[in-house]
Amino acid sequence: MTRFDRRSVPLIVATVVAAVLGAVGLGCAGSSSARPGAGGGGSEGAARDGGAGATGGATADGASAKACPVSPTQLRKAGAALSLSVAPILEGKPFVFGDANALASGVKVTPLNFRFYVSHVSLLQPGGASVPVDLVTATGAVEPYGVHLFNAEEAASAVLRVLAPAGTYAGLTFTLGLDDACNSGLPGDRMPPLTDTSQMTWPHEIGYLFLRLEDRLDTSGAADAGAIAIPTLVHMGGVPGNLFAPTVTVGGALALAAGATTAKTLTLDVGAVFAGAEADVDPATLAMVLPFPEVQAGERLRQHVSQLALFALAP
Amino acid sequence: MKDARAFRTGAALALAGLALATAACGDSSVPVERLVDARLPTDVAGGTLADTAPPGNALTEARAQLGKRLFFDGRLSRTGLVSCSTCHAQANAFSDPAPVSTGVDGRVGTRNAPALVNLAWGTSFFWDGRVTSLEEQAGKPIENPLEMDSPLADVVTRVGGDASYARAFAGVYDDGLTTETLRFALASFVRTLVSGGSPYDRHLAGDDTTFDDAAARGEKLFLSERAACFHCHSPGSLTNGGYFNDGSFVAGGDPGRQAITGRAGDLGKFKVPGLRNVAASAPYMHDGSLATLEEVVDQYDRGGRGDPSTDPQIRPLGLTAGEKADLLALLRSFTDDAFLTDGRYQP
Repeated sequence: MTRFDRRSVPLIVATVVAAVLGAVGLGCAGSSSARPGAGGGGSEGAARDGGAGATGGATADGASAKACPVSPTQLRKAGAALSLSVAPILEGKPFVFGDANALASGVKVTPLNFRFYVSHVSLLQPGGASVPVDLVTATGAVEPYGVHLFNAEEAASAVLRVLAPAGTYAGLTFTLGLDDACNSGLPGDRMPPLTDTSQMTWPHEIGYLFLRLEDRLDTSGAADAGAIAIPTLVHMGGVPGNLFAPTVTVGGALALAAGATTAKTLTLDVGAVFAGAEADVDPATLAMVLPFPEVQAGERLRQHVSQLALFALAP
Repeated sequence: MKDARAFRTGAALALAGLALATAACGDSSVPVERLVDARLPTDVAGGTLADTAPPGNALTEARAQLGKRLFFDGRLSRTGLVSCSTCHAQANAFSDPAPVSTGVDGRVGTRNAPALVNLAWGTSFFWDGRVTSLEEQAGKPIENPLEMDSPLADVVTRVGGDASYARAFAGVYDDGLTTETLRFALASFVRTLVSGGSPYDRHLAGDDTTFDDAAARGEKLFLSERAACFHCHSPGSLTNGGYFNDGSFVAGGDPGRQAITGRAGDLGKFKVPGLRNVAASAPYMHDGSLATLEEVVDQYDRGGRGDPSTDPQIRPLGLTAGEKADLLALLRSFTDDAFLTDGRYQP
């Protein structure tokens, strides 16, 4: 029997997907200037530097990103600290993990699993220039691989910490997911947050999940249950070399003082996640992902991230 | 990394072969392989078994051997009749062939005793994940009224009356025998229960001589989005360590993880078990309600038992008889016969 070479799968899948992409005229990198994290739709977010500081050399088209070091070069050891507490909301109210969150429609949504990666954070200066910053742990060390895993089941994971030059900023950007270098490779060769225990891995090795949301719906209290458009499964991923993690841009004033920690809340509108997962896309593009509802919902979301106000800075 | 694994595996096989060859010549000076000398599972990227131990309980052979002695000692229970091995039998992958276990005075438990396999790499323990270290886990069954029903301090008194135990503990822990070191020694032994020699492990290492075509077809199905087994049973370790309501829960039943967190959404969630040696660890599910692997596959094929709390990822699969047979072949390829008969794990 011929052995199934697990390591050849990414190349095979990437080749097949590239062929399909060419056939439908959707080069997801958009152009040679597209960046890892620029998103599969080619329109998400601002162009950025590819996060060289965090990945040690992610380059232009994502597919050519070379490394995903567990200990990336730290951009700075000191500076102004920014602490962002991620707060999921739905219809303007806290979206409480594990609770039956009641909506105006009478529907109750109970999140069962909610995770996503954040990487390549930059702060935006008022003139538009971006300043790459490190994601750091509570002790100030750079996070492994320069990647943060939000896991709604672990409260501590809701806090994103960065070290930045003191100054005034007009917002931030980050990759909602992983760059190509980190999105490739075997979880078994890595350490958290890129191992199987992240629950963000796909065995077919077409990359990691960037975001997963699973929920249970109770429509018994809804006047029109048939009109409810809330998916119970959203698995947003990508394909190395072709379908990239989207970049999120969040506007909002940030005044960071040297040696001090500024705490902000970063709200995440779960309603926008649902809307993105249900949004219309070119059906041909869905042929490039696995033909299962949760994966296609994720691809719909991935393509629409730039048009959705997923995140916002709160005072 | 793969080369390193191959080298490690090759070196281990060479050493084992050398030991066997020497033993066959009747050389009694060849030492018995130590508990701490485990061959690491294929999914473990590197390091040693000792690396999995917490700083306060460094893994040593002496501690593991002491823990093994305790594991088989009925004096850990109030009645002196129930040991850890009563409910965790090696032939059953250190699980209990009964749906739920029987403790002191014939008291019947509520959950199936889980298999003790590769827990060194675990991050939470028990079906509901209520503890996060083997050291903490080790004391719970001793204190549980339905299991061994004994305060740890009483165990220390009983066991400490045996001078050989007192000497052994004094030799491996600075504090001698205490309620803490009792748990630590047990945890050290459980940490050495490592399985990595199944046909599946050999398949992952590139040797398919014992991994047949049916298992290969089963693996493809296992890893497909259609069957979606992989979402919880990650390839390699065969568990993602998470908690899911896999459709085994029925209304009014064991709430599982919810009893720990209090969250409505955790109703019926249980820890995802690793599947190594799963063919040896019947019956199945948290309540031992499914007697065979065939019943397990059938239940997943039906999409669970139908309770509304079931995870949305559990859905009817429409498997053919052939596909079920292939999945079963894969599940049986997880059996490590050497682990199930390894003399190092016996009293």
